[in-house]
Amino acid sequence: MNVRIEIVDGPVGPVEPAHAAESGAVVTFEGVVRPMEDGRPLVGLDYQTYEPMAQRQMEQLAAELTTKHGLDSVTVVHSRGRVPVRERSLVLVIAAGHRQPALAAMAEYIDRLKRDVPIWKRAVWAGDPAGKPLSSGEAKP
Amino acid sequence: MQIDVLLFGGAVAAVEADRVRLDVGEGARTEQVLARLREHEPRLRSYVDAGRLAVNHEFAGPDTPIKPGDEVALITMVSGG
Repeated sequence: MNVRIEIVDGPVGPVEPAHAAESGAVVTFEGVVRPMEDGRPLVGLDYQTYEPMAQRQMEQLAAELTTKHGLDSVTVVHSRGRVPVRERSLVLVIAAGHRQPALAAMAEYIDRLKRDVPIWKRAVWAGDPAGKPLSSGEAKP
Repeated sequence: MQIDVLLFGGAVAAVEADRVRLDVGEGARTEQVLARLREHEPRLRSYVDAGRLAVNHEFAGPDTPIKPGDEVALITMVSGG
């Protein structure tokens, strides 16, 4: 099993995927912070992670889907803390022999991450010159 | 025995604290902890109803016994990604 899971401070930078030299399909998903939420401009999102549970859940999910779909590798990098708009908060790279298992595993991983991995995000709204949130709440998943 | 239930996300804002201390009976199970939490802190009811308990960083079923020293967390609706 070739799995790499990482939680990083702030936006996700360049990602070196786990080794997948024999793969015929490499699918990449990038989660990017939208500039608007419900018609209001955002400064960014603050991500809170419960560690080490978040790390462990992402590893278990990668292992489960590797077995289920016969994946070659899974690479996940997720943010903690502040991520400004238009920056990446999640990069997920899945490699498999063929496209069908890679695409199916990608959709399943994201759905499960949003259900089972203890990570929360909080909107930071634009309009405060000090850069602090005027008001904030749970952003949409 | 006394246990601290760790809080995250909107639950923290609801009670302005990152944990709630509860008195529960020796050998209490997760289901009883959730019931005690609902009763002790009514502002958390909606979070308890939609959430799950984790014990020592793993999701726990309703019959999981809590031992002294266990790390107990209320995992409310998550929103990663």
